[in-house]
Amino acid sequence: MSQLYRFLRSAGRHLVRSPGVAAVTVGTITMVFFIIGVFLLLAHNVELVGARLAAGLRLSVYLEPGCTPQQKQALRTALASHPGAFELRFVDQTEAASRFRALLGGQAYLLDGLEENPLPESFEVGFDSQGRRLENIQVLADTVAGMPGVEEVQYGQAWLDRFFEFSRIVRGLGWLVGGVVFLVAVLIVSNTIRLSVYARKEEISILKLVGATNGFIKGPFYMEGMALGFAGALFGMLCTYLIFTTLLSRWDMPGWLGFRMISLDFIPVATTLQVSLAGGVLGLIGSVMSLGKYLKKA
Amino acid sequence: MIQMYHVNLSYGADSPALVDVSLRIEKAGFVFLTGPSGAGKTSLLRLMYLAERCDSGQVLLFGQNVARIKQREIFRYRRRIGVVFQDFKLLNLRTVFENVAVAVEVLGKPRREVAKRTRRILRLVGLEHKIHAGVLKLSGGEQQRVAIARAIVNDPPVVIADEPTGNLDPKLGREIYGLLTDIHARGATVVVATHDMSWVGQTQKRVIHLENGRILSGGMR
Repeated sequence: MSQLYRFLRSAGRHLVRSPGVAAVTVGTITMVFFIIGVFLLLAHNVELVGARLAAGLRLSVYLEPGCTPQQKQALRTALASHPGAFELRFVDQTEAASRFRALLGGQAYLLDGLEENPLPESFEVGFDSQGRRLENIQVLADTVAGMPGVEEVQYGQAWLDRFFEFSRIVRGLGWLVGGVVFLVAVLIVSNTIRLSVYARKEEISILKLVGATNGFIKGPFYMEGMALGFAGALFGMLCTYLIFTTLLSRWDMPGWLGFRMISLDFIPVATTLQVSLAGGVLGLIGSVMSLGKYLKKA
Repeated sequence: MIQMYHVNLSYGADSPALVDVSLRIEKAGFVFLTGPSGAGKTSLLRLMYLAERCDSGQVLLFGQNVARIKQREIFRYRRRIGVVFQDFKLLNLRTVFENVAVAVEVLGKPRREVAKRTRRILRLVGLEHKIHAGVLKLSGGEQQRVAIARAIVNDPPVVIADEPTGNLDPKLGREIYGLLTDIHARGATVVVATHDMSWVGQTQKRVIHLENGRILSGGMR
């Protein structure tokens, strides 16, 4: 405990003594984490929109006119056994026709001339949050599409595919950009710590002389790196939040009217904290990189 | 306590620092290393506190062959050797207390113990009243006393001083030699490199004389 206190005191003392270098480093890491924050925000909201869209997702299985009761039973069993299926309804021809009438509204009289009801019977499946994963629904759709008595299976796959493809691209791009800027930030911290090490070269040689272990010498530098990384990440996320809320307050203006149906959220607090901690880890990696090299030489 | 046999050390092919040096310094001994500038006194001391490794020959410290001491184990030996330099090598932006306390802190002692030991040793060197002063505000003699306090705060069995009075006037120099004599009287082995022959002549202590990297007298006893 006293060792930890000493490390913190020593790191704090040095940060206070060279505020310029610390400010530049924190500022740069802030920018890096602002970029990461923007991507996280984008990915989070795309996912949120995806989840909201998927909440209304229904799988409709249209039956052939000659579908037998046994075939219907087999289909019912197959659909009900899907782990995420929480609502299973059979829609007979009469119900299908009345729904269609309701949909046509004023033009419903057009159906009056029909001698027989052309609408097929169908099963409709609703999914809970667990079963709503597109991959699972695709598997279920492919399975039942091949079963006897099935005419067609629909679940709006075309637009959902497009949306999830977009979501995947956003996530992939986020990882790529995030990874690159993360590496840049590690190098920045590493250089700052190296400067710090050179500034304290004399102190390090004295510590070695009085019998300090490498751990004792490295501790304050690790703390310093972690503090710089954590502070930079926290400020970066704070900037993202401030800019997000500023833009959001303009979101309600008439110019944005078309987009008001999509409500946006900020990244959850837990994720924000995790990202800030990742900043601390980043700082630690940077410190380890520069100290490893230096102390081996010393 | 410290033994060297046929030790050679050079900084590059054309600059031998020590040539065929052999010496033995017994436990609780007091030895002066004398010789002109460039004679090899500092190089010899650097071998003793493991800042340097010899090119050939053998160095034994506390009965251990230095060649067998791994780099990561050196700190254990350094904790048993207090070193004092001509230029003090103090942490200039720290206080007197912090400069001495750091030597106890590296041992991982609790803060109370660090404070206790530091105060005790500062009392011994007569600097208790300046405990919270920045070291740059002290006189040369006081700074050297801080350096000595740091070197002896953990009661090391060996204390090495490299020209400890080189930057001080004769009166302060006598004070410092007095302190080193006290440390020796408390049971430590003391090795002092100096070219201040006036003091060496007065003390009747053992003298090892070096010139051009060779021991001319007093090496083996």
